[in-house]
Amino acid sequence: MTSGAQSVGDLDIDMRVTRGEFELSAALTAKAGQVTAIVGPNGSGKSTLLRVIAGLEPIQEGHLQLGDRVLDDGRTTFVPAEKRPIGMVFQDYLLFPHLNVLDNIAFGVQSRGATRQAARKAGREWLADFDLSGLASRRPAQLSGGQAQRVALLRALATTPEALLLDEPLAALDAGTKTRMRGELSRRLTEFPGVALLVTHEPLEALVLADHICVLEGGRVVQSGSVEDVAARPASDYVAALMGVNLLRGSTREGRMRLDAGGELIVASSVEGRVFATIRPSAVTVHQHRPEGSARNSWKARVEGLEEIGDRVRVVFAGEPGLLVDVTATSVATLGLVPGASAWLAVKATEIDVYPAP
Amino acid sequence: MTTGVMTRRDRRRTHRTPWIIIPLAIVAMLFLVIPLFGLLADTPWTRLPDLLTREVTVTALRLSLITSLAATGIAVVFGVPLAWLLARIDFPGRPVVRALVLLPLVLPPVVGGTALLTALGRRGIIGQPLEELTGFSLPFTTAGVVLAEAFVAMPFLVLTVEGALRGMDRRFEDAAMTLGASRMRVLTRVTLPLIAPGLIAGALLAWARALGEFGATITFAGNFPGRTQTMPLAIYTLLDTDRDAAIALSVVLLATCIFILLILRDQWLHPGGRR
Repeated sequence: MTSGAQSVGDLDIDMRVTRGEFELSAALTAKAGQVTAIVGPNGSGKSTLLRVIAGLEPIQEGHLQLGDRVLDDGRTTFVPAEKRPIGMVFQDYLLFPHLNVLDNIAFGVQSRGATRQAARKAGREWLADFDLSGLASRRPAQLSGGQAQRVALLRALATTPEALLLDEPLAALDAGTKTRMRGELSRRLTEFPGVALLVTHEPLEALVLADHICVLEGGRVVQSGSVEDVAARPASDYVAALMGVNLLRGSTREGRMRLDAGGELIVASSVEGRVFATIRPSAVTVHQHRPEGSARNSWKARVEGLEEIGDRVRVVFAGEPGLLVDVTATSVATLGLVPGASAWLAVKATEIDVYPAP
Repeated sequence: MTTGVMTRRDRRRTHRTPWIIIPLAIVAMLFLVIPLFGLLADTPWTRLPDLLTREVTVTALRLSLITSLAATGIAVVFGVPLAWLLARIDFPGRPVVRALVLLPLVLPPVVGGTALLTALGRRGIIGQPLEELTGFSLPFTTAGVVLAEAFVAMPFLVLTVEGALRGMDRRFEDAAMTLGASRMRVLTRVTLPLIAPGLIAGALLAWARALGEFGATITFAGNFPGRTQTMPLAIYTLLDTDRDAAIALSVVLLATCIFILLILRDQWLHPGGRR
C-alpha cells in the first residue's frame, strides 16, 4: 500500500444520541488491525453510529476517541468530519457523478492538502495498485457494481485514514459479484492497519469479514464479542436467527432444562439456574415414528413451513419446543413434511449448548 | 402553410378526450402563436441588417446585453446564497421570508419600479443616506437599470436553485466531508456541480426576465438612450417613430427567447444532467 507511516490506535466510543423517539446509546471498543462488524435489524441505529463516528453528526453525551485523540466529548470538543482521519465507504458508494474515477480518488487526496497534480499522481498509483488503471477516465455511471465498489473503497483508502467505516459495502451488488467482492474486501481489510468498522445485516458477511461482532438492537449494544463467541452463545433471538441457530430460554436443574415456552429437555451440562441454550438446525433429526436410539430427547412437532436454503430445506416446526430443522430435499419427500404434517424430532443431549443467561 | 403544420402535429390519439377540449385548445394555441407569426410576417427581413446596425438599435442592444448580464450576475451571486438559506437553514419565519422574496414574481413590474424609486430615490430610506455619503444617486442611471432588472429577475433564480438544492442527494456532501473536504470545497466541487443544471436553468430564466424588463426599468431608471434605454424601452419608443426598427428589435428578443427555451428544454429533459 502507498500509505506511509501511519499511527494506529483503537477506537473507543461511549455515546448517547437522541433523535425524536429514537435513542442510540452505545459503547464499544474497536481494535486497530481488526475488523469489527456492527450487525442489527433495520432501525437499530447502525447507520447513526457510523455517522457519529465519521463526524457527520455530533454526540450529545459521552465521548469518542481514536488512539489518544478525543474526537468528540459531547461538550467542547468536536472534530468535524473533514478533520477526522476516518474514511467511509457508503452503501451506494456515492461516487461523485460529475467526476471521473481518477478525480474521484484524487478528490480526497487533494482535500487533505496535496496539490492537484500530486493528488492525481497519487490517484494513478492507487489505481495501479488496485489493478483499476483502465477505469481512470470513466464516469461512475459507466462502472459495473463491482468496479464502483472497488473505486469507493479505493477513494476512502487513498486518504490514508486511521479508521475505515464501511456501511453495507456489498449490499448493492448482485449475488455472484457479492461473493467475489467479499473475498477481495476481506483481503483489503486484512491489510488495513487501522480500525475497520463494518455495518452489515448479512451474517455471512460478518462471519467472513469480521474478527469481532457487535450486535445493536433498538439503539443498544446487546452483545459484543469474537465472532466465535457470538455465534456460539447468541444473547437474543435476533442474533440467534442471524447465526442460524435455535435459541431456547429456560432454567436447568440436575441435567434437565425446563423451557420458558413449554417443554423440557435433557441436557449434558452442569450449568444451573437461568440459562440459554442453542441447537443447530442440522443437529436435529426428524422421524416418522418415535425414535429409539441414543438421542435423549424426542418429541412430536408439527410442520409450520418450509424454506429452501442452498441444497437443504429448513423446516419450521411448532411444538415444545418449536425448532428450525435442516433436512435434505429427499427427507422432505420421504417423511411427507408438508405444512400441517406431524413428525418426531430428536436431539442428543450433547448437541444442546447450554450457557448462563446473559 | 403554417396551420397545416400545426394540425399535423396536433394529430395525436384523441380517444377519451371530450370533444370540447380540442377546439378550445386549438383556439388557445392559435391565440398564443398567431401574434408571433404576425410579427415575423411583418418583419422587413431584407432591411434587418441595416435596421439592427443603426445607432439607436445598436445602443439599445449593447445596453440591454450589459445590464441584463450584470443583473444575472447579481442574481447568481446573491440569489444562490439566498436559495441556500431557504433550502437548508430552518429559521423561524422562513415561509414568510420565502413569500416576500418571491413576491416580485407576481408583483406588477411598475409597482416594483415605484418601490425601488421610493427606497433608493433621492429621498428614499436608502437613497438619501447613500447620496449624502457618496454623492451617488441610483435612479435614472445605468446602475439603476441593472438594479431594476435584478429586482424582477432574482426570484426566478432563487426559486430554481432552491428546488435544485432540495432535490440533490446531500449524502454526496457527507461523502466529500469524510474525504476531508472543507465546507468551501464541498460547495465549489460537489454541491454547485451537482446542482449545475438547476443553476444554469435559473440563470437563463433570470437573464430572459432581465432582458425583457420594462415596467420597473422605465419607472426607476427612465428612458434615456445610451444610458437607460434598453431594448424593450427602445421598442416601445420606436413604435411611434420607426416601426420597422421596433419590429427588428422585437425579432431579436424573440429569437433570444426561443434560444433560451431550447436550452431549457434540454435541461428539463435531463434534470439530473449528464451522469
